[in-house]
Amino acid sequence: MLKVERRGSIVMSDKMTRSSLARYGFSLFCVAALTALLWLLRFYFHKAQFGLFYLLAVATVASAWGTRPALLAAFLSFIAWNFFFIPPFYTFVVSDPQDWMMLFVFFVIGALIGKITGRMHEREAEALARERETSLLYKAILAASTQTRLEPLVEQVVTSTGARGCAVFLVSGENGELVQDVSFGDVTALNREENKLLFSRMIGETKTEAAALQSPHETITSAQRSDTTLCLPLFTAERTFGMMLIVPEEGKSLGASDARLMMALAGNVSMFLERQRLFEQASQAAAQHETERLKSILFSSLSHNLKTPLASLTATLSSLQQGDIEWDAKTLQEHFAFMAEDAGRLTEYIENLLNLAQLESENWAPKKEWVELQEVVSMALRRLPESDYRRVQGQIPDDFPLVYVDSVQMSQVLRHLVENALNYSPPASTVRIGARAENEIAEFWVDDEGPGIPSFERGHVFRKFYRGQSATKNSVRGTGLGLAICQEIIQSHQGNIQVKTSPSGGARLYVRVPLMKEKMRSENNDAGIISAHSHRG
Amino acid sequence: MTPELFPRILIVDDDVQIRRALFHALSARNYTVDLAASGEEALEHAALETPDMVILDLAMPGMGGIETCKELRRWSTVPVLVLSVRDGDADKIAALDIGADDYLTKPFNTGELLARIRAHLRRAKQTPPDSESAVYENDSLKVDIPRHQVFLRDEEIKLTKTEFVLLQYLMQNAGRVMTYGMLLMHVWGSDYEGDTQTLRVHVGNLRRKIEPDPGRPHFILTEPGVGYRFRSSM
Repeated sequence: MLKVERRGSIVMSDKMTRSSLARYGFSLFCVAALTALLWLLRFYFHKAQFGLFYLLAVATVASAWGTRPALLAAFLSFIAWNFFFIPPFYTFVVSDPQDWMMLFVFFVIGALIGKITGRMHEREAEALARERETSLLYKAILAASTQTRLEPLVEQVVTSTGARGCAVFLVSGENGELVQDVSFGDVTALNREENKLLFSRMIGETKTEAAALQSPHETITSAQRSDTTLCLPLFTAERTFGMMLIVPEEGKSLGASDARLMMALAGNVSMFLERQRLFEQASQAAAQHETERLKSILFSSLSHNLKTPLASLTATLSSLQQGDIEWDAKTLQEHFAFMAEDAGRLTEYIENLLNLAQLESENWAPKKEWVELQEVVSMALRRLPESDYRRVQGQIPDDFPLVYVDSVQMSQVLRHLVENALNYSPPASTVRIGARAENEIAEFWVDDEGPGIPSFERGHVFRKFYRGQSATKNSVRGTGLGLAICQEIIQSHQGNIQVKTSPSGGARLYVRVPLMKEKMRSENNDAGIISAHSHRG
Repeated sequence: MTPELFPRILIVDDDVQIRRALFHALSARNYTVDLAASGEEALEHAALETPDMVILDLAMPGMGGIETCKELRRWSTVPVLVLSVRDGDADKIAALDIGADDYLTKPFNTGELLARIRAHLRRAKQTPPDSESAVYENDSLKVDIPRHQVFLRDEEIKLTKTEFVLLQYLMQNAGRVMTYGMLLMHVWGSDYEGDTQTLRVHVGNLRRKIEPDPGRPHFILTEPGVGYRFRSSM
């Protein structure tokens, strides 16, 4: 049968422990030893002088062991002095009434010394315990405010209270199931049914007493204990959300200060858990807000980028369709060209969207192969109109090693970078491509002579649908997808892409991808690679 | 030919393709077309060339369409038709409230745009009605303001005071989109701002009295989520 006993406080009343017995024994020993010594020297002293030695013994016992052993010492001294040194010797009879007075005064002074010295001693011990408790609490509070996990806190509860183990249970789910969250040390003494009972008793009493006393704070801190565990509530002002079970060292009793310390530690754990809960709530809210914001950006970007080309396409088409004008062949051709351009713009945007969606999907991986960077560059520039192509300069060094990349995706990166550079710089300015291989890293970059990207925007330009301030101000064409696509591709190649400043003060988009070693290349060997290699000679 | 015969239209849009498409569609119809790529540019053009009509994109970087319209309205009564890709009614309403006359949502049909342009140009050419003494006629509907009389196919119909004020205001602004806010403010005053329910009830009553088929209104057209427009006379 489980015995659950409710106590207002968890002070153990058992004062007669082994250590206190030893104190009384020591007290007895002191007096006996002194008596023996004095008996040997009994001819050198006057009978009254023995009292001074016994006072010394009482004071010593008091300062070492506290009040009660000192009182015992005073009593024993009184008897021994009387028995051995006051005539008639070896009887408790006192013949001289003056000796009676002397013995009485001695006993009073001895008791007083014992009491005062003993109290000083106890205060000191108490102060030491408080100091220890304070420093433990200080450590616990420090841990609660710096740790991000509960485990170190629970570990600290165990080490600082000298318990065998400690477990934290939290109420979870809708039906209020108690679930063990964290434990440390030996908690095999805990059993599930007992835990439940302890908890429901704790909650139950909290509720009824709260109603009765109108003081939830006092009653909620009521601790429950069974014969094996101490149960402390974890609570906030609004609710009790769990409990901390402490399994004390077997046979060890808990003093008032231990109980106070454990309550304080449980309070500290409550605080930590509550802080964590609030933090989680706040970050969830922030994430939610960010999602909403992204959704609305996505929506307006989609709306703008899809509807604008569609609008000009529809405008031209419905203008031709009106039937109020005889269009000559040349004008018709012109209009068809506009419409083709609009349709192209629409296609490009949809392609970018689909491409990004594909890159973001989990089962996409780059199809890597050994290629020359120069080839990737020419693939990227192939689709540029002649007027734009003439603005692009720069060379990939002839001795540039082969790169192991997805050539189609990598040429897309270069195309986006070059198109960006063309769009964001003055019409006739030059866009320069450069590359360098160093320390197993391939670097390449695209420079423009535009206004550059201000440092506060550099972190944002790779975000989906983000368009730089100068872009929107100068109505540069763009969808806000190009750099996001580049980043996805580069990251899937374990590389990175950054915004820097070009020598002319414009923007430099700078890409680094790891260069595979020759060794790796032979490991990935196939016919294509060999031919590419031998071709380079 | 004199410039008056070729109404001057200012097209304001940050998108070059839209400007080009509208330029070709309108110049082919003998309008004189000016192009502006931003709000600032638009105001400059409007001040220098006094266009007969402005077609204004709302979603422009820098000085947006709403701001441009507000600025323009400080010194010009030129009809403004707002173009918007946004589906949100809030932008349209904001533009109409500060003085735009009409709106079209992109993508739009050029035929529809041309019809709107013609209607607004015609309305603007009419002498501004002297609101207290005019007699309005529109198809079979005739409103005699000074006498407070309304005739439908020469038959007098009885309107409440509120209905009369509402009808008079809509007819004075025939062809313009009147937002809920504008109508409430004019008919009931500022206290009723936001009470579109009341407005709908009165418009419903008015339609039952003047519309041949209130289910498919001929005179008072609904602009969903925005307000009402009185059909301009053909």
